[in-house]
Amino acid sequence: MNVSRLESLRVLVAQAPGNALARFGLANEALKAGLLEEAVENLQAYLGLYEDEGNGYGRLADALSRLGRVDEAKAALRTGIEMAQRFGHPSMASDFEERLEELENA
Amino acid sequence: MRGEFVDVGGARLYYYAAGTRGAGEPVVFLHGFPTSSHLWCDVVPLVPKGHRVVVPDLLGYGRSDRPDDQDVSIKGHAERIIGLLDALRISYASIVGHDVGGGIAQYLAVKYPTRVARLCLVDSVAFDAWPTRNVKLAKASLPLMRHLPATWILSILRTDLQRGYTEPERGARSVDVYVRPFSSAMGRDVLVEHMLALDPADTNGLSARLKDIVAPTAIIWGAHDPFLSTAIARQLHDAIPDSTLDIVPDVRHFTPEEAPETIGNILSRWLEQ
Repeated sequence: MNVSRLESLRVLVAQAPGNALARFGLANEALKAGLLEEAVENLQAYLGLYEDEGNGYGRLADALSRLGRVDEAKAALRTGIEMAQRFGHPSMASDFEERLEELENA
Repeated sequence: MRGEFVDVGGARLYYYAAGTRGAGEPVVFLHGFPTSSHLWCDVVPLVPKGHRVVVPDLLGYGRSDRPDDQDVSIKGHAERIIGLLDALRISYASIVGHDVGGGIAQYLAVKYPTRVARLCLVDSVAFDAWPTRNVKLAKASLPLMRHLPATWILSILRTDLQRGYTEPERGARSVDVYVRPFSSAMGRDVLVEHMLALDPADTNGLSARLKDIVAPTAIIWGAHDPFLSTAIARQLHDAIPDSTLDIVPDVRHFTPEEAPETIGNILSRWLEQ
């Protein structure tokens, strides 16, 4: 875990909570540090601020799954499929479909 | 290492895959002008275990298709790399770029921030500080070059590229590999197309957005790069928040070939971030 990077992104987000990319960066550092709740909070904030092409929803679904919040993870994947298709990333969409199927069959 | 072709937007791109799949994000290595995936062959084995590695030849280079009418600007290459990532089902990757490949990496980090886990720029084009004077002169004479024999143009290119190596023998061997695809009349036309596409406006237009890059960024530079000076490295370091800067001593432009162990060590550190 890179503590200084995590801290500097926390400071950046505190100063500019509407900075979508700072939110995304902080979420990634939190994921690396295993701080799943913080990652989810920042990914959700990021997705509310930025028109993500799919990958952000996949990362949110991962974090939610690891927290056992399966229904929310499925919802994130469904939106991710829709966004990936809209932005022309069909293989990302089919990847998410497989992951959704796994969650539904679990 | 396994090499194969993949269709991206109607063109065949060659890439080779290496590494081992694991917990780490995939690492994608991008070469610049006028090199190929060969540039990275001594670095790739040094990538830590647990990372899938993908090393493409950009369109019009190495074994990939000729560009024909396709866009070979930094933007054009970057959009095809996104297509390649999609085709390989890679949603999130660490990107390493050398020379023009570094410009492509900057474009990806700025335009597709959620696809870039980490960014590493090695002797990269940036801002409006490129191409070199010799390339600018060559571009100015392109209408004439189209009518000259390929061998004449290649001899000029060879001499210029050779300046990027500290070790002349290594340089001669690699330059042979790099210029081979351009040795026919058709190859000469492709080379001209690449040269026409070398436009500093592509990277200058990204300059104001470099401060928004949140991916952990490593900048690596040959101390004696004759094409892209270390001043550019320092400017990038100042522009990209929390980036690291390593200047590699006794090396010119082709740092991945001349100091692979140093690059490997820096990449290991970077991939842990």
